[in-house]
Amino acid sequence: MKKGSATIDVTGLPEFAFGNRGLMWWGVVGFLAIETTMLVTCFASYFYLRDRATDWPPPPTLLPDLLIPTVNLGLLLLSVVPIHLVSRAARRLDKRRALIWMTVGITMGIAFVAIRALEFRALNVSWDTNAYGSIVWLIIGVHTFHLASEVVETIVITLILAKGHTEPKYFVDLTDNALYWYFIVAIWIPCYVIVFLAPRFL
Amino acid sequence: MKPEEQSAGVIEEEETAEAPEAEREVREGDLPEDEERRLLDKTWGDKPGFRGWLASTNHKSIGKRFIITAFIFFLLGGILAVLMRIQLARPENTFLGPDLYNQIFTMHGTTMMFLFAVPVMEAFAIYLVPLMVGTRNIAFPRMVAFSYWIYLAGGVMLFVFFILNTGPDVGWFNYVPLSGPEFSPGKRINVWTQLVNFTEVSALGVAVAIITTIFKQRAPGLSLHRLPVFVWAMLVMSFMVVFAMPAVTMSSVLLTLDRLVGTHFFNPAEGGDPLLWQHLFWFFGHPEVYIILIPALGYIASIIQTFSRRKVFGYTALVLSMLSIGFISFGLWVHHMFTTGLPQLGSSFFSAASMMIAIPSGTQIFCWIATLWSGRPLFRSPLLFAIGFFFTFIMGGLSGVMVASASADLQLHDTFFVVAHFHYVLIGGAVFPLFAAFHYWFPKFTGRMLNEGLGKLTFWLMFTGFNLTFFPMHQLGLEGMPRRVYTYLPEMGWGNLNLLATTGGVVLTLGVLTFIVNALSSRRRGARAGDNPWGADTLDWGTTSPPPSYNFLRLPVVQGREALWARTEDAPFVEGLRSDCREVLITKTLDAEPDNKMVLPSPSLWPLVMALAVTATLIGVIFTPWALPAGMIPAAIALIGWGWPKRRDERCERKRVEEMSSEERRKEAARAQ
Repeated sequence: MKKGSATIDVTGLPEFAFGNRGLMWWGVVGFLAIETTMLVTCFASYFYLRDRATDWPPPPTLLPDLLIPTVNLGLLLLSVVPIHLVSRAARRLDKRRALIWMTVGITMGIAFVAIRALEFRALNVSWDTNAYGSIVWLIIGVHTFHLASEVVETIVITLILAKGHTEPKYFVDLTDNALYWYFIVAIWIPCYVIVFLAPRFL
Repeated sequence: MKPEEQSAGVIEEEETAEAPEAEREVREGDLPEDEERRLLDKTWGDKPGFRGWLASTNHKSIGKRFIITAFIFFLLGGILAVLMRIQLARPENTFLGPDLYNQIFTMHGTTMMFLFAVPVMEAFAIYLVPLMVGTRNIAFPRMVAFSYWIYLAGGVMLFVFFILNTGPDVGWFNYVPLSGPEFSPGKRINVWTQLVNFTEVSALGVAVAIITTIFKQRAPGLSLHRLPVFVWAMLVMSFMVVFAMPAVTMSSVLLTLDRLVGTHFFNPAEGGDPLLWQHLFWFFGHPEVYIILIPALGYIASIIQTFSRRKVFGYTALVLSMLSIGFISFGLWVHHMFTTGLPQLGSSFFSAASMMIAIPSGTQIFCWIATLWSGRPLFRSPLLFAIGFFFTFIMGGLSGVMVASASADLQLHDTFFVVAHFHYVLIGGAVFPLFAAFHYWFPKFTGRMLNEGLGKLTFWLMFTGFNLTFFPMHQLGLEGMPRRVYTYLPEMGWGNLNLLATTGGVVLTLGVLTFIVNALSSRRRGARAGDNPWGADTLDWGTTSPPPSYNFLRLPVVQGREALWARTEDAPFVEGLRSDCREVLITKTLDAEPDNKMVLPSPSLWPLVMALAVTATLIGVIFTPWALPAGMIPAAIALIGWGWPKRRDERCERKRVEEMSSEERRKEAARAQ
């Protein structure tokens, strides 16, 4: 083939890139958009049902407890620190630090999932008691599903790295995974406010 | 196949066995052209045999499968429609009983909306978008493969349950309380809710892949303001899928929970509300109509431009109209609920929004009329279908303006007038453009031309048949015939118009059959198409027909909005991508400047294994909630197998971090920020 006048040679371009320069970031953001929409749908349903009730929660259902959920919220917010440090280490291609902070992050994630089990009890209502019970269980359930899958996902990519697959693209995966973790934490704040604070203060 | 018994070694064996020992990198331009084409095909093509077919991650293989599968569902949905028309041909007909009739109209709507319309539009995007933006494969090809399998599994499941007399039977929008546990015991509705989950998972996965491909994998020079209208349409559609489909997924989850574990979302006795279903469903359901329409507008734009033989008139207006249709369509859903007793203000707001969407729709039509008017139109079969679309869609739009008025809607709600309206919109707005697209891109898909005479015959049969079928339904609706009744009394006087509609249905069917005959015979014996039989402008026509597995020998560099028309004699191209690896060029989002390179994943059976695991879970959930936790284990195993690094792919990666000096590591990291 005859060479063109202004052929673009891409031989020297980087073969991996962090953030929105890479493909995976866009995939993660796409799924964040989908999952945010799902949770927002749950929130909208919550307020729709609440709007139709005279008392919320409908008696004799008790208000949810605050202590354990609030402690757990603090723990989840705190987990952002190790995950941010993972992200920073990954961007410097520093395997040792990335693995250390991943382990810390995963430990906090597992602790959080374990405490989550108690949080369901703190609701003081079952999913089949009334529509109020159904919707609060749904919100926490959907979030827990995402949280648990994110913890498993984080364990898997940590294992990949620990097993010696240390090509730079796996470091990019760490930063994209961190983005998903931030999402899980951030979206929990409105979930917490709606499920635990709204019936009390709103 | 039990996924947990499939070890990674068995599945990847074929690939590792083939891994070449040669460490030398081969880049574009290193080899003579024919040798390079062979190498590229080895890199990008499907592996041989049935297993290679199952493992394919090539966007053209998957796109073709998707299109053919969706077309088969279109035929099945069509057969169901014919059965309904036979039943209604005369009063007090006994061809179908009421229970079977209920299942059939529900199956017809469900099939056409969930298994045909959206998937076929996405299928065209899977095949054409990577070609049009000038890349070698779609982003996330394994996810796209998974989306195909899960879609196929959902469709097969629906029809198997239907054959077992467990087809859903309360209409395609599945209103509670009729679909709730109290009034629909049994498993029919659970089948419907699970089908929705299958198709939405599929649609969402594909949408993310399309958005990413369009934003990051465009050929150099293809900045956003040069993007073909077709690609804009697919982009808008994908965004709409991302924001609309989660609502229907959630609503079907809520209904499943109500039916399976005793929640009370829709149970007014315990504080639930049936209207919540309608809000959630139509928040998806109305954008859905535009999710189907917007890609169709993309086909029309390509076809009008090619056959008018001039640049499309009002590119900016067309793109902005599409974007605004995308936005406004999310503010219309309540117009499906005018008869539910909304506050006056709500009705007025949604009435106004429903009428507002006529403005961008009208803008588009005027742009196309201007294009045709000032061009030298060539009336080949794709253009005939496009003009059929104008006529039919405008008719549907006019009856749409009527039902958008809340007061008129109170009268017309749930009558055959509405049936006529949405068939004018959907067949006019989606099926005619789709047949235009079939006739237009058939040469690209197969390398052969369709027979033009048969193509024109198809158009006239379908156009006449369609209007004969659906025009009388306007009148039937005005005369008060309700939709979804399995029969009517002779004294109602609806017999003649119904007979006319059934006759029209026969003509429409003949049209579709003509197309099938044409496609099957032309596939083998049609005239050779060559690269660009229509003299079109988009990059998909800048490669062979059918395109090679790697799409382009050299990635093109785009010099103008009409890529091929603007191409100069000594057009530049991209050089330096690896030919022995699945390397794609990543460019900047706005101006498509080359930015970095990435290796796409290889073919794999894991997406299929994952789809089987998810299928088993979703079908299990029809019967017991425990299927969900149980199914998560094989699904997690499949997902790990899917993502676990493969030796063959790593051959194409840069060296490991441990092998770099700290200086080198700093430099590499800095370049990647």
